[in-house]
Amino acid sequence: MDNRFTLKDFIFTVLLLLIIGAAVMAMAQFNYVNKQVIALSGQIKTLNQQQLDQTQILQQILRHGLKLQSGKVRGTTASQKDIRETLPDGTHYVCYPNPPMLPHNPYSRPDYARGDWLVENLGENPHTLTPFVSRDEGASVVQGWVQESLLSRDPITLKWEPWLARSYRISPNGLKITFKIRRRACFSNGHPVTAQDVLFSYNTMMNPGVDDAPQRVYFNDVKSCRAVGQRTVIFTFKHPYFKSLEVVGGLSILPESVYQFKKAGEFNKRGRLLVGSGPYLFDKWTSGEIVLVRNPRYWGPLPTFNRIIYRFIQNPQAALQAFLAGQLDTDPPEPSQWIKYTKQPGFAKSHHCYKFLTPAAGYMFVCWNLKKPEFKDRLTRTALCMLVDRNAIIKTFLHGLAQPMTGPFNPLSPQNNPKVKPISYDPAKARALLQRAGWKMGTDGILQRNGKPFKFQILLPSREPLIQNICVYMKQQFAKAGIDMSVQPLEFSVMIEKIDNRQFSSYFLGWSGGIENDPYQIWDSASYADKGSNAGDFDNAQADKLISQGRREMNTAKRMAIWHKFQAIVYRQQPYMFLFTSEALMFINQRFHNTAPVGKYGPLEANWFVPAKLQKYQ
Amino acid sequence: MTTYIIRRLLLMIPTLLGMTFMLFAVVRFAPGLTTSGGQVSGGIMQSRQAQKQEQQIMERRLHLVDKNGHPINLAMQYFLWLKSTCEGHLGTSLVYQEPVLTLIEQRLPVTLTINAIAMAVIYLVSLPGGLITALNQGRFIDKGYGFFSLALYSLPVIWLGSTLLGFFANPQYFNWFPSAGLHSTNTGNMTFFRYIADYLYHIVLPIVCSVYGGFAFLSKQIRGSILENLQQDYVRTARAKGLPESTVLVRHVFRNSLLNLITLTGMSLPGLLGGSVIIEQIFSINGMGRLAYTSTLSRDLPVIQDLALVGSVLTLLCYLAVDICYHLADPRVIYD
Repeated sequence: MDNRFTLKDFIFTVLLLLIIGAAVMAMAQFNYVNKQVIALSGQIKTLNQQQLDQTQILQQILRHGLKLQSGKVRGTTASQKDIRETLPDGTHYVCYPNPPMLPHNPYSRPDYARGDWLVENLGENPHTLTPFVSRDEGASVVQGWVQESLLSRDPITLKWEPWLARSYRISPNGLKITFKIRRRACFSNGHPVTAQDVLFSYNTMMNPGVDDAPQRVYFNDVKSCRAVGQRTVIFTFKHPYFKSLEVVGGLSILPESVYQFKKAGEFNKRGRLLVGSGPYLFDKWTSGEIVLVRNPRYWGPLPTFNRIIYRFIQNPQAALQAFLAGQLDTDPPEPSQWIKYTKQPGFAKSHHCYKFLTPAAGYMFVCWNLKKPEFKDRLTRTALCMLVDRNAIIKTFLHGLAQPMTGPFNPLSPQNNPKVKPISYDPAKARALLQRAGWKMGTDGILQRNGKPFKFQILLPSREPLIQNICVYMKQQFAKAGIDMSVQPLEFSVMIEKIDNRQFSSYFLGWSGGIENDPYQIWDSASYADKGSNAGDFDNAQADKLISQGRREMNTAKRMAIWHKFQAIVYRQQPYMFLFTSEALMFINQRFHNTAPVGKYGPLEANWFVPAKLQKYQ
Repeated sequence: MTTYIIRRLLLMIPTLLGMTFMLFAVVRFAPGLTTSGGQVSGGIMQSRQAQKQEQQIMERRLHLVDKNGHPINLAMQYFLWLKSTCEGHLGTSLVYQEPVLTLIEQRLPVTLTINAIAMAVIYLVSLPGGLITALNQGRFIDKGYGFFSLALYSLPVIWLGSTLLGFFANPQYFNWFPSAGLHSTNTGNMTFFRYIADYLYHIVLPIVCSVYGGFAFLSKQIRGSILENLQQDYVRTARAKGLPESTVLVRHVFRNSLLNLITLTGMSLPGLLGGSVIIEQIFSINGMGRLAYTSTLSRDLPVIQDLALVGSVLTLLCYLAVDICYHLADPRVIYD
């Protein structure tokens, strides 16, 4: 065995040291370059700030109607008032010469300052950011800062107001909507928003090769879209439909110059291309975050934050801890976390804590399969509802942070009929109703009708512990009345397959919400066939008639009256056991000001700001 | 040796064919639909009409139906998939709308770096641990190390991960580490060294979770192997020659004991690319484990199929590499 340090060993050692030295030197060089880049980016930021100030001055000149004439600055008194009127021929006309400012906007507050970053959590990393093609909620949150539509919804009145459009006009029969686009509106690349861009966006949406089938469904009633000149777009419809304005007015407008494609497949695959006319630019998307930066060319009121960053923290515990450590600026806590932290002395003082209901929130329900003999009659279904104490569910499982539902419409939505009162928890009355429905107690302690015991299975998604707990409670309640309910948790996709194939007695799920929903999808008898959403087979001629009337009624007040009648029928029939809608919860870092919920949308990030002294990031 | 390698490579073909067949069958016959549209948040469903249209697109992309909407039989579906895989097209994710290879490219560096560091830590602790315990067989240090490493081995990752997160990344207890992600939010202002330090600071807790279970297994293997080698004649000979004890231990015993490690290391290589679903979920790391997990939940069949296929191929190659390494490490091992 040769233990000497030979020449070969010496050469190897020298080589190794040389490699290590080279690596260290390369890193040091890289570090030096990095420092230079950071210094340069600081200078670029200063330049951007100067550009921002100039844009702001220009916008103020435009907003206050100042005109430069013969070298002098002169104010004009042009009375450019907002118009919202119905003309004698029945045409509905709305015109806003200036884009509407958000209610409670912070611009006039003495401590208002631009700057700082807003760091929020998106939960799951979005699959794609391609407009129309993306499906997840996170993607739509990001797109909401970068892309805009012709109209926007007022958070207080919930009415659609002109945004990229200066005005819109709905024909008396509701079959034609004409939009006029603002002159000032432009995309972040400097190109003006034109009628051609709206037409391009519509054509992209309707292109069968584009993977946007779920959204395209809503445009089925659009007959044509026509661009007239640079700034006028006319949409015509096959039938009058109350959601027509929302559907076309809410369409994201894409710049044709950026998104044009030859094959639809090209459009689908541009998952990282996001350009629009919105207040922020899409900067980068790494494995840990999405970064948006302020659009210096924005045509509307200049946005407050220099950057908006979305991180992807799926674990609610980790997200809350990141919020507490200042790594996130907001956090929507779980109900249990809300109770724990808001009880702590000092927490509420050092953080903004908000809980609120929004009309867009969905609701949870139990669907009965009305084709099964045990659920065929209304009395039995009403009795089942009386056996479950929904207030106790809300208090015990949701810590009181929810509201009971009295039908398929959110309590805050104008669709909701406040006269419909919730069926109260009354086991004695429920037993009487079951008796009237023909159920008699068997020798085994289980109710029977026509020799068949009252036994059924409820399907529920296996990854939802809240739903599982509620089902266990319901099982106990039903057992007391002699009803045997077995609980079957299933993986979500398997459960959906069973519901589609109508292989269920009952299932527990939720529907996502909307400010004004079209009940056709879930409640019309025609929606049972072909794996439609009326899985329980609710079939009521009067309800069908009201749905048909409501969908074609363009007058909001008359339509709401129809929906109110419809809701009363549905609640009386109890095809679902309507359970609750959860309140939204939000913790916000104390350095943000003007964060209080606005109208029915909850806190609006666009209204928030950080006073100069409290700003954390440059 | 060359003949042996060629023979092994040829034998891989039928094995791979069998694997692809199994994979295809398992994935196709699993119940449930692809649910990229129906994001399951609190059990909220999306519009059913939309889901139906979605389903039709999925069926076309998965070659379940042809261009005219007519169903394709299962055997044909299998051959179409096999053909495109053999041509190097690993398929496109139904949910992400991106080729599976691109998805792997995005996530592999994240998982690979963490796992490589974790593996290095495990070896750095277990090799001396195994050696020391073997040399002190039956003494307190041997028993103590064995007890602690086995105790760690028996702790479930999900519990320890949540506990570490709850105590060491919590401003209410010890706010020592970040609770999620691999970087801070303002990395743009960091110099290179600061950036590396920030990364290392972020991966401390995930690395702790990845390594603690590995100590016991590896140390015990090395300890056993060293004890076995210490009884061999060549050790007695080396001592009889008058070699210093340190030379006997390091040059002879330890080196020979490492032969067993070739198998262990080789088998753990495919796992390096797999990533831990639980650790990545707890610490919000976007790696391969999370990709496999979310793809399974949303029934993203091309991703599930291709990830499993890549894993299978790597395992086969690692088996071959282990055999070759044996020959290189110990010339007495001859396969021809």
